Amino acid sequence: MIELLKLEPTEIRVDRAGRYAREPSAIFLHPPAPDVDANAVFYSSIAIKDEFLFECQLSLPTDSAQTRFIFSLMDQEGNVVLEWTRQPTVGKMTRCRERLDLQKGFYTFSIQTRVLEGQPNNSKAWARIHEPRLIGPAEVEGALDPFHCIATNEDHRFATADPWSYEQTPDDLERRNKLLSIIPFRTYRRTLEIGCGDGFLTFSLPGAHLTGVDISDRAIQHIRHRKEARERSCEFHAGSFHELPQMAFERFDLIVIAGVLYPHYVGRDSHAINEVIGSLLAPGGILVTCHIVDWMRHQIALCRVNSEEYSYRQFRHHLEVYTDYDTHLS
Amino acid sequence: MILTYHKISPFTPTHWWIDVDTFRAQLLALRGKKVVYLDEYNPQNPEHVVISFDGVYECVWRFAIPILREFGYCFELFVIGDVLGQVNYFDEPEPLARFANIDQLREMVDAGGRVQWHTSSHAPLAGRDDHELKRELLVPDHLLKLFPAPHFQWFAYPHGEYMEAADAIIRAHYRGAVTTNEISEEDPYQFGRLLVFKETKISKDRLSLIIPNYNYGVFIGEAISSVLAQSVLPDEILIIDDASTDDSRLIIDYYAEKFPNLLRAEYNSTNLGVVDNFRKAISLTEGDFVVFIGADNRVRYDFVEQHLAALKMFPDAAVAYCDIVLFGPRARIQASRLEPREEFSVKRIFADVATGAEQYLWRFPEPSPELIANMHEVNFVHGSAAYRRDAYEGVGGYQERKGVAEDKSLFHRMLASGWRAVHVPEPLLEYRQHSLDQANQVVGREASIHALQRENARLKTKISAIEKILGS
Repeated sequence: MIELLKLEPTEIRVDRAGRYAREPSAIFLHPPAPDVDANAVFYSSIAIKDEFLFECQLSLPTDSAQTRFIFSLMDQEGNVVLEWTRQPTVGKMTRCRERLDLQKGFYTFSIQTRVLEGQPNNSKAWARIHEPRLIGPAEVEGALDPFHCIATNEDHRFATADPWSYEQTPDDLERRNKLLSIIPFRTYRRTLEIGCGDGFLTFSLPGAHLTGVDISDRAIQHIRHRKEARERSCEFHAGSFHELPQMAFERFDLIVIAGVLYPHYVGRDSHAINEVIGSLLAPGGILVTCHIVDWMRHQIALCRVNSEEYSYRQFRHHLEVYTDYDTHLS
Repeated sequence: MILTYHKISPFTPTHWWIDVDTFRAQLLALRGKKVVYLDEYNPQNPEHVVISFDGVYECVWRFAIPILREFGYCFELFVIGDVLGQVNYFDEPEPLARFANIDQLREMVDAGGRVQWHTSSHAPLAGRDDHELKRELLVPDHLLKLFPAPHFQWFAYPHGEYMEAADAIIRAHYRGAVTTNEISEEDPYQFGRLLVFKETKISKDRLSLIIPNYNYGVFIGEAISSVLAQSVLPDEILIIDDASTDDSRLIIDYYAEKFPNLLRAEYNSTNLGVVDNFRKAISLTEGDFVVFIGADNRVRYDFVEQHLAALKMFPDAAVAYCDIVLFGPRARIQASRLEPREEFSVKRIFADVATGAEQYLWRFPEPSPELIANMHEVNFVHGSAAYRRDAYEGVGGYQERKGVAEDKSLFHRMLASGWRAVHVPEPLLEYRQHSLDQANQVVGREASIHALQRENARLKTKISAIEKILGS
């Protein structure tokens, strides 16, 4: 048996944004916020000709919540062709070895971690994968993408559209109304929604041209297929919050951010967050944010022009409107 | 005090990582102290602080260095020589993290860092023979060439454990060494270090934030929620209610119950009026710094952070005041009433054609000697300025003066007695212009509905308990 290729642990990153690239070969799960099941996804494209072995060691540190590892291989159409799970014991190293028997072709290999249900909300959840490698008589064609991990990406949820049933939940229809009615009445040229998902809010927003960005590739695929996407001038891109400045957009006179600026999504770095927003908002532009009060502290260094708090599902929502200080209206 | 950090990052998987916001707040707490290199450090001087990093991790280069640059602090970098640019494989079960490489170290040196030695491999020193010890303790030539003196003059024991067998070698090659056990204040080869975690409180200075309230039940929820969202929380929040007759108490109690260790409520049984109420509030708090926020106003998320920074930066300043945003239905009227003076500026920064809402940015002047001399004519320190308790007590606190606002008189007396004032040039206070019946009460109403719902649920439980007793 020859060692075919070693997935360099140093190549593994948690976030696609260079700046937030995390450290190699470790999957981190952030302490889950209440009702958020923390999870992480590593993925890599591979091309194989024959059977091979996947091998790694898994560990859950002693202060971690119980977590399950889900390994899967998807073909180019996105069908899962192989899936297997491992559940290491907390505080112990578990060896994982799997023989993979596959047709020749291109596959996407992913490792997901899932905190098991019933874990206390305040428990830490993080895991570590040691030296993942593919071994076998098989050959690998083409270059191997670096393993990536998108921290707490909700991508897996977007197997179907509207994964949180917004369209069927009165509280969500109400919060959409509240958000739409708090937007200052004026003509907007360019609108950006950060965290657009599959478009629950997006197509109701004003603006001659709509731009939607979401970290989930699948969500972006869904939104592009909606019929409204053919009726409005719009564009959609997959990318993380911290990648936005590199996406080189022209500035926006309306930016909407709902349910994104939580520490478990964007980290705790207020200055970096304000820099991203500052790089996107046009002079005199409007920013509307909407978040669950207990999950974040507000951190927007702009002029708050309106705000509202209301009950949403089992939470309280904080809806806020900002503009910049530099405008001078005569 | 020698501070030791490991990893700084927006995400913090274990307690060895400190998030960027917390790191910034901890550096802020050092304002006014003297941040020095180990070469200049005197442990007996309580003003001396050394900032040091162990590893040194790439995330430090990425996230900590820009902030250190911004603050202008110098720092020490204790590197593990064998793993530059590699990862902490030896650090099980910590998540793997990459160490800075040579180029990143160079950049850190440019930013004010000095490279020091933290062994070759970070393995424990005990049980090593002389040859192995030397390999661990001494810096290889190629690194000495890259970073000549003043670099590599200090040594940090691995795992913080001082070891006698290594002591002689270290004395022969370094100016000093740091450890976390067997600490000495006299011997530079056994200087102690403080491991910094997220919870570590670096400064003893405390800030008390006071919200006096009288019948502002519709607004106070918004005021409190803006205080609870601060990037640096006050050490204590006191809400003093001057015998309100509206539903203020319901809302205040809601927050006091939810944050029992941070927020306290005091209810006056009779209305004391402004001066006595303020004096009482001060007497109920302990902070070295004090600031009042009107129950009808709001603050930006960095209000506390920026005022603390200003007062700590200038120990001779009694008071720090920021710029203001006027909002609410009477913002336009108030803005037009502000006397046009060249030192102040007022501009309209927001208008909503549908609702008629407007906001004005009101910039305050720097405290020039002319302005201070003329302070009895033109006041430039507003009531939500943060001040030192020492200065407050030194001038006799808030006093009843005919025709002079209590805060204006207080700050005037402080400046007249030789204290300085600092201007924080950011609009951190949102100053509501309203008359009660005109108020936009949405947020306040929501807060009271929420409080009432809770109260309702509590009473229902009580009733069912009583019914149970009656039924049995």
